[in-house]
Amino acid sequence: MSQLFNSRRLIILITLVALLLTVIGLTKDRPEFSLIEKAVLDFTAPLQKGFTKITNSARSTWQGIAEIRHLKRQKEDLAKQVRNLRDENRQLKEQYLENQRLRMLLEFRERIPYNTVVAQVIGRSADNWFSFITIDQGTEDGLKKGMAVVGTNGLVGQISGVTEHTSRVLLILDQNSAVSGLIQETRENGIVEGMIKPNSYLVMKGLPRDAKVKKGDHILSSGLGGIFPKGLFIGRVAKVEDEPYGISKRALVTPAENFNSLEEVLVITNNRPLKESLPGQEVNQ
Amino acid sequence: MRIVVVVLLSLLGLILQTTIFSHLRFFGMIPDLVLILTVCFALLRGATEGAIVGFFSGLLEDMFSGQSLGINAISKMLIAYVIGLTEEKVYKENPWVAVVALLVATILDNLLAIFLYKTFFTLPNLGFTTFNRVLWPAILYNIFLAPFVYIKLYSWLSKPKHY
Repeated sequence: MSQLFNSRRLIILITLVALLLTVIGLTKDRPEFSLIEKAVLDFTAPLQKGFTKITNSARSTWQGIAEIRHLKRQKEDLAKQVRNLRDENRQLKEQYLENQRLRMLLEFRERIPYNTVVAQVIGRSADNWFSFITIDQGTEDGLKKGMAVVGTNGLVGQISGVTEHTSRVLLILDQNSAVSGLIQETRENGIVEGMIKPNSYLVMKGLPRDAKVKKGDHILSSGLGGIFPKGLFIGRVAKVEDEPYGISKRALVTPAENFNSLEEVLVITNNRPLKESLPGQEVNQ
Repeated sequence: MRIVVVVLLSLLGLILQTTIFSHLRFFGMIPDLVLILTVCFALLRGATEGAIVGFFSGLLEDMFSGQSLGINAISKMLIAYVIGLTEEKVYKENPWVAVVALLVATILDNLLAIFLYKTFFTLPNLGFTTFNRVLWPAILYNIFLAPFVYIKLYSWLSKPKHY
């Protein structure tokens, strides 16, 4: 403290303070800057200008970066939203289509006079030699080997193997499939068989040489053989030709069912019709 | 020579204060680079040199602030003088010295400024609320920057002189 009070510099300090207080009082309401002030301010103005320029450009760059970041984030958010909405849309479309198919199937189910079980197609043939599908219903649901399977458009095939919860359906397209068929218009009988892939036709064999079958005729199941109930629509005649050895005729048949887009099917669990009318007879009318 | 350099540095500080730092505000406040420089210099060089730097730097600050001349000159000079008196008593290698010094200096500076403004001007809105709002961010900003300035000044002033 002695340093603070005894020093000569303290006197100078007090003098300076007093001087400055006077200056404050004098310069309080001054109309304009003093010469020194003007000089200092003019001297520093270019520097200030330079620094301000740098600051402003840094600031605008920073703002630009911030904006880009913001936009990027926004873009990501929107892209995510679009993805989610697309997914949702796809799911809804899928549900809508499934709904439509099931409605058709239900309508069809009400039309046919048999007891049926609705099943979903869960798999298809693993090789090129056989044509079958796997459905999600089995013995637990009352399904048995040999039961006929139909789609909304026509005959699909028959159950060739069954587990508790699944069944394998041999399609009428398969070369091992044989369905006793009937030409609706001419009432002629024949055997409808599958052909080796990639042929998507069925072939109706054993028609008499003088058969009146013609292109466009409807082929139904005849009910002979006891596997397929009578009157299930198989397809339409696409072409009539002589058998290779000329004893009888055969007809190439376009199947009524589109096997590639088959997703739900009906399994007929009783072979005897519940009502008098059959879908085949409706077609006839 | 040292004094001139530090006063010029204060001028640079003032330019920075009025340009760059006016965009880098902390709770609306800009740092007092002149105070930081003056106090750090006083800590390292003592009361007399500190007071001289404080006087000139404060006067420059007055010119920049556009108010009447002398307010900052008085406060900076007195603060630098008082802080400078501790020069031989502090452990100069430790930058925390600058933090403590700036904490005290900022409070004193603002108190002096408010006292002088109140004395010479009619400023009815300048009260405790304003003071409080200005003081705390200013203290934090100043003590945050103080160690950087102090370390730079310390390394410059402790270099062997060749002239």
